[in-house]
Amino acid sequence: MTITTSTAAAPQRRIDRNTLVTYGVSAVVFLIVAAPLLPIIYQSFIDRPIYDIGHELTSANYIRLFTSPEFLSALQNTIVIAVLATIISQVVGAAGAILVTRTDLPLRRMFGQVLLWPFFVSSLVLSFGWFMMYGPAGFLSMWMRTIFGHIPWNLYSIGGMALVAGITHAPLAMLYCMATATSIDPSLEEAARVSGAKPMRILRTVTLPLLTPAIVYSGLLNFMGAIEMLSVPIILGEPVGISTLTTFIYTNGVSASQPDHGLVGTAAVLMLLLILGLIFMQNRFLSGATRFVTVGGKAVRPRILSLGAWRWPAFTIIGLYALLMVILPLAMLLLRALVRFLNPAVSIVDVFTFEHFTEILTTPIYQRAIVNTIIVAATAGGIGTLLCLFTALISQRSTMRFRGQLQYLALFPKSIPGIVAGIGFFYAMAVLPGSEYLRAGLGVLILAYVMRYLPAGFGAIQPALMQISPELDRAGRTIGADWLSVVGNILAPLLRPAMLACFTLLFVAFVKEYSIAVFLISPGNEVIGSTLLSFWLHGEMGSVAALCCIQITIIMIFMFIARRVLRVPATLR
Amino acid sequence: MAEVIARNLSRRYGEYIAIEDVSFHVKDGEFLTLLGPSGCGKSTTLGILAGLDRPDEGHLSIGGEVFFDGLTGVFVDAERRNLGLVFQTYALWPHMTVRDNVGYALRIRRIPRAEREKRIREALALVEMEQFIDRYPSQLSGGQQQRVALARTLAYNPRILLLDEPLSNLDAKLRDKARSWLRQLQTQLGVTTIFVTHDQIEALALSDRIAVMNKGRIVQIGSPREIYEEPASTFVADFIGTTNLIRGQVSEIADGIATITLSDGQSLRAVARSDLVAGGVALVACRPERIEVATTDAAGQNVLRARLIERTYLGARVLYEFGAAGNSIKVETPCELPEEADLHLPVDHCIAFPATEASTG
Ligand SMILES: Nc1ncnc2c1ncn2[C@@H]1O[C@H](COP(=O)(O)OP(=O)(O)O)[C@@H](O)[C@H]1O
Ligand SMILES: [Mg+2]
Repeated sequence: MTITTSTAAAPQRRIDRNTLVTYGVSAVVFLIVAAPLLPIIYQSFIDRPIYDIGHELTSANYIRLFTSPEFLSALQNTIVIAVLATIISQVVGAAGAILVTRTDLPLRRMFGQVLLWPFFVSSLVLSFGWFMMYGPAGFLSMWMRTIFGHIPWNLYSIGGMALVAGITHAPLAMLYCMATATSIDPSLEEAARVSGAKPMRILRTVTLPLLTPAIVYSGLLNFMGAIEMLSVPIILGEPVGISTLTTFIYTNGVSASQPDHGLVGTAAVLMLLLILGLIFMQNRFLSGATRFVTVGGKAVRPRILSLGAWRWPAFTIIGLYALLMVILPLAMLLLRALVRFLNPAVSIVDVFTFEHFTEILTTPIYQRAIVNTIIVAATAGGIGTLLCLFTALISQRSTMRFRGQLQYLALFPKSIPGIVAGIGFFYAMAVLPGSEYLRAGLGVLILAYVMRYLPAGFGAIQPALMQISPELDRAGRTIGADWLSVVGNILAPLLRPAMLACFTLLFVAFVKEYSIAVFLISPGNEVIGSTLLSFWLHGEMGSVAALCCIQITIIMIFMFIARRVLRVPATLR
Repeated sequence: MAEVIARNLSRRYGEYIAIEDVSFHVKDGEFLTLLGPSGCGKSTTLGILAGLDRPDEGHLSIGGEVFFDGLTGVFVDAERRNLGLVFQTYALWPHMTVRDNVGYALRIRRIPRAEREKRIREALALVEMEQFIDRYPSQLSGGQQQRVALARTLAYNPRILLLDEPLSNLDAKLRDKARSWLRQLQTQLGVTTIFVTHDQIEALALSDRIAVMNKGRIVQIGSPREIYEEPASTFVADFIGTTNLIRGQVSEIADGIATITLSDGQSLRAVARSDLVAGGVALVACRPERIEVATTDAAGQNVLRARLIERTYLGARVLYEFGAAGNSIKVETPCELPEEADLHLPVDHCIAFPATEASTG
């Protein structure tokens, strides 16, 4: 081969598409994050709803809020429930993770799955299951009454709410602890064994301390999650007047005949500040996390500890937990969906029916809610994945001037509780010109969902991006490809598995989501979550249960497709 | 092909100076090596040439085209420079076959399919890798990956070739073969090449000229022979090959020859650097293979009496370490040397540098 002439690189384009895309994506992220925040803050300082005319600035809302006994008791309940729920979730999560990954617990693989179920079922669905099993008119409660003459528990209480909240948050703690536990160097435990320690003692004195960072970190996440949660308080607290910050906002903003947006906006601002403060703490903790580097990154196949005499007692405890706390409430939903009514005195065969399912699947308004849910989840999942991909690529792999700020902005919605995001978009739609179009369709729901889940999606893509050597894109640039070509031909194909993971995560989250939606639903735009709430308010428990089953089925089918059909080709490793 | 003109290039990361005042001129078809210890700024310099990194100031033009100018603010993006860069890690795209890796640049340049296939095969033939065209990078050995990486850059006839330690990931035997193969290929193509390495043997064997870098600056540019025989500083003398650095006081400078007095009263003569001053402290550099035992009629010789400390057998030669006035003096020779010897250090192979703080590093 003789090299004669040099082949010219692609000529300079007049409008640089790379600049267009990087700045365009940044502008979109900025707009969807800022759009809900500014109106909320504004609302908290004006004397009437933001959609009325003639605003006057005032600090009266803050004074009213802090002198309102309802608000103060809601704040107190929120903190108490969140603390208790976090303790429960961390204990369950850590114990479950240790038993499942580090010991010879019988059936540990199965428990590893079952204990994570609440992760795939929304907390709203699990709350309904609990309500139908252990609520004042619940199946097991009634059974107890016929035997003992009274119900030995009260689910409609702070303790009951904390328990259900803790159970819904335990899988997150368990996932974090499992990730750490599988990477623990087994020689640390073996060293303890050689020096004569018994299995339980090793787990307590060696394994558990190594899990501390995972427990604390996921504990902060769960604490924030418990504060943000709307489902459990609305199902188990509202009926007896125990309110929390989220139900305070909900009742004053949605279900009241005269919404008080001064209070709602102000409470939302305070919630935002509370979560921001917690995130600040979390970041402080993270920056000190290097203290705990005893956990090696080596992919060692961990040898498991024999529990000895504790093997069966541990099995019994974890088995009862799984059965009573997770499996029975969910099984209850299926059972309730298939009967006209439920009473321990009546044989199930006599009241068996498919009518709840047929009603939902044949009534246009309910059909539409299901279709809407899937459309929103797929669209918002797709848009969210692309936006997160580009946000990660711009902030990590471009020379755009504001790349640092972009990443900060994309992570900011971590501090916006779902219900607050919903109110924010609701206010934004009220003041922004031309927003009728968004509001009329599913547009605003999609925007709000995407915004709220930017950090989650970013978190799914960014670690995978860090695994890709920057030299791969630098090589692309030197051979003549511009930034977008490098993204399209090199980085995006290499990130395909991460993008699929991101889409899966977002899709499942969006099918479960309801707290963002409560302020944004208008006739014709219902989703499963809002329909569940309205069934529940009308006392149609059979329909609630049937729709819960449908939601779970959608998620299961999607997970199946995600695992089997969208599977990453083997060549990509 | 093209010549490269770099003037006063500087790159800072905050306070930290990665490179400063880097200037060189590479002639058309020349093979220049940037040589220096790890962290001295070689990759930074290469990244600036390639356009992957923007310098803070200076001027760069390649083939008559200005790629960067700090004063006018001109900066041409990497993808418009049409240069070839081979990375230390090869940076082959793992999701593309060898064919796609090599053909990607041609696809970007909208070369029709048939022509593209022909040029992919030509480039692979050049590096003797045709039979691996359908493999994925993970199915190739290190040496094969390195060849594909080279073919990938040659496929689009880049103006110049930039190589960042391309041989450092190969094992020793393969490295020797790859080195001579690379030099042959470069001569055959006549492409202007800038090669980065921290391995002085590689640099000496391959280069037309070597630019020695230290702490972000170029400390000497010259042919391998100049760099080796006439190092500009004790750093260069020490970094290229092994050298003895003997400390003493400058008692006299006459006709460019300095007389250095050691702490035990013995004296040495050496070629004086222009910045050497009488009365100051000097370091005399002399290569181990230049030192021999003084003949009995010692008149006119540059002799040091030294005592043997250690003897290391190297096969073809023996490495002796002697001590004199607190200095260690290495001698490499095939001969047997006694416990105590009069060592002859030829004056034209002794260079006296002023001993500054930097001279040890
Ligand atoms: N992006 C960066 N930020 C800060 N410092 C850097 C960066 N890139 C390189 N450096 C520093 O610049 C110096 C020169 O690096 P480099 O050019 O890679 O050295 P080498 O000669 O080994 O190739 C090193 O000390 C390195 O730590
Ligand atoms: Mg380097």
